[in-house]
Amino acid sequence: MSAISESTRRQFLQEMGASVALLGLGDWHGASTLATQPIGDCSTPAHGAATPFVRDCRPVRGRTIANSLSSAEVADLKAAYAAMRALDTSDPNDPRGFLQQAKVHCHFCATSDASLQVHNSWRFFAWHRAYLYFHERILGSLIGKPDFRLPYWGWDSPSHHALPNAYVTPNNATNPLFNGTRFLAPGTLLPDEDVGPTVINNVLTLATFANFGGTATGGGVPEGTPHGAVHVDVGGDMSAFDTAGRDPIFYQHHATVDKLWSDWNRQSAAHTDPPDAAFRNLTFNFFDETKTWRSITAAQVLDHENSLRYVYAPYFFLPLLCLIVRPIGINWAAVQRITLPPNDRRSIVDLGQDRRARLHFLGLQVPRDRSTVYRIYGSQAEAQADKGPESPTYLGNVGVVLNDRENKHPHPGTMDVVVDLKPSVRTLLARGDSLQPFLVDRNSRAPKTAIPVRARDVLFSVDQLDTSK
Amino acid sequence: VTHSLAILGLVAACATGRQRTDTPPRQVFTVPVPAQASTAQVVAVLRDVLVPRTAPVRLRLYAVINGADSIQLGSTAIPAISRQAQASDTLHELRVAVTDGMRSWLKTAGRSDSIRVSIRAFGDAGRELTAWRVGSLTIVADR
Repeated sequence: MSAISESTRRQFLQEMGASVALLGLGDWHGASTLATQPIGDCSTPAHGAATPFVRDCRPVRGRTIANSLSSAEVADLKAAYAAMRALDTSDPNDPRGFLQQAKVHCHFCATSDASLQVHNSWRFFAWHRAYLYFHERILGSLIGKPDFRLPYWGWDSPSHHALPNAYVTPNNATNPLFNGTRFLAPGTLLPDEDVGPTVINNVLTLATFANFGGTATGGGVPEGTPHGAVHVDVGGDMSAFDTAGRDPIFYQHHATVDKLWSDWNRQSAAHTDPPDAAFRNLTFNFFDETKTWRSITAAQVLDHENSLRYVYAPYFFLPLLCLIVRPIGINWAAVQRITLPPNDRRSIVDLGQDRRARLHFLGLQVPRDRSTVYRIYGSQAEAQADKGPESPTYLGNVGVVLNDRENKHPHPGTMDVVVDLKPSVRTLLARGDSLQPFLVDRNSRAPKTAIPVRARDVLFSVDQLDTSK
Repeated sequence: VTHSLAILGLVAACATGRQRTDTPPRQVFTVPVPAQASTAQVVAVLRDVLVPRTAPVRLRLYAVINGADSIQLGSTAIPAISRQAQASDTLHELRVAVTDGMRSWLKTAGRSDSIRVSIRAFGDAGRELTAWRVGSLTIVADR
């Protein structure tokens, strides 16, 4: 048999097989799986004008790898999805329901309307981050736990290439995390071609956002592999965009994709998101946990820790509340001393560990004739004694590094310096004492010369809870 | 038996509106090798990619040496849009990381200004597809 006729025969058999499958006479996704069903109409429930997203002031919490969840956390996860699925029957039009959530992906992905399509362009990462954020808030709200965060699958780690245990235990419809159409069997590993260390390393070390996250008209590398590849590997509902959201693993898969973006940003200071207004002003709409139709921009999802209140574990983070800086004028220009107005003295008494009180030296004049470190004290006597951070009025330090040894290219202008106030300084200010700041060269020999601070202005600020929400 | 299979195939193909195409199992491009291919990340940019949207597709890229697909450069996968979608769709631009494959090829090919790249398309269960096409291919250093 010639090569041509062999090829023609193979083509014929392939097309015949495909056609038989499309006619419903066979299941080409694997005999052990259930055939996927059409999702039907993907339009969103009725809604009015969108309400803009407002800053999230919940405590920052970690999204953890699915297989590391405690039994209590797995119970919460399953309870949340069970509650979401229950809405499918109790109120099929409730936008918080599981099928309605799946239809969101269908609506924006299985469309030929280019203005809606969120794949194959730089919309991909930002839109899916926003989608998961509102999905996560709904899940938390359904179990009354606003601190709930989605777990992530974690296929970026070689030890997590199989479906997470919670999603296949039990591997039947009694498990709200189960989906019967999956081709990937429990315990079967995703192939290294799709999620191996080389793939992950290549993605995380891409130098430009165009290659990582795509452009206005094309997708980035990870949108294909590993993202698309894992969709295809899981198979069944996951292998088509219109049905993918019907498999709960979709959300943990996409949390891992989202983590890749977060990791890529943290990998290098040069790994920055597009500054283009066309990207940052991209606006997406979702229902939130109160069934409010929200709008959120790409710019609002870029800093997921501060804006969306989650980080990826393992990761060390401060459980910061939603804080803003409240500046307090201290009439520096007139008196050249730091005295706190009476009404603001109480504001620094009980700040707690998470909040800061700071001094802002604006336009500080620092000698630039040598490379050294200047310490700042709140009194001349302490500056001359120069005992460092142990001194009651020690405020902080500021370094000067010459551009060249001969100082032929001196630094121009002044400096802006911000120092955190330690408890002893706060106590002095809270009781109405005034500070007269002096600089002293840490590296000069005694007797030390204290230099009065010259600055355009000095401000005092405290962190306080953001109550604008 | 062959006659019966042919009739069944013809009926099935007509019933689904499926069109036979002339696209060969593989497409081969000869493209320049970027100057920094041995040091930078290397990305293959596929443009005007026609793929069926009723089923997922995996594209694999190979370096062709002596006429054979010798080194896998990289791969990408495209989920289906919908089982009920239009038969095919053209994606403007896809990017595939090919860094390690290019490094392997460079060791074999030495200094060469161009590389022959073969692209193959696979559907579910590894079946090779025929109804697909890549409009153009370039290989760029990620700078």
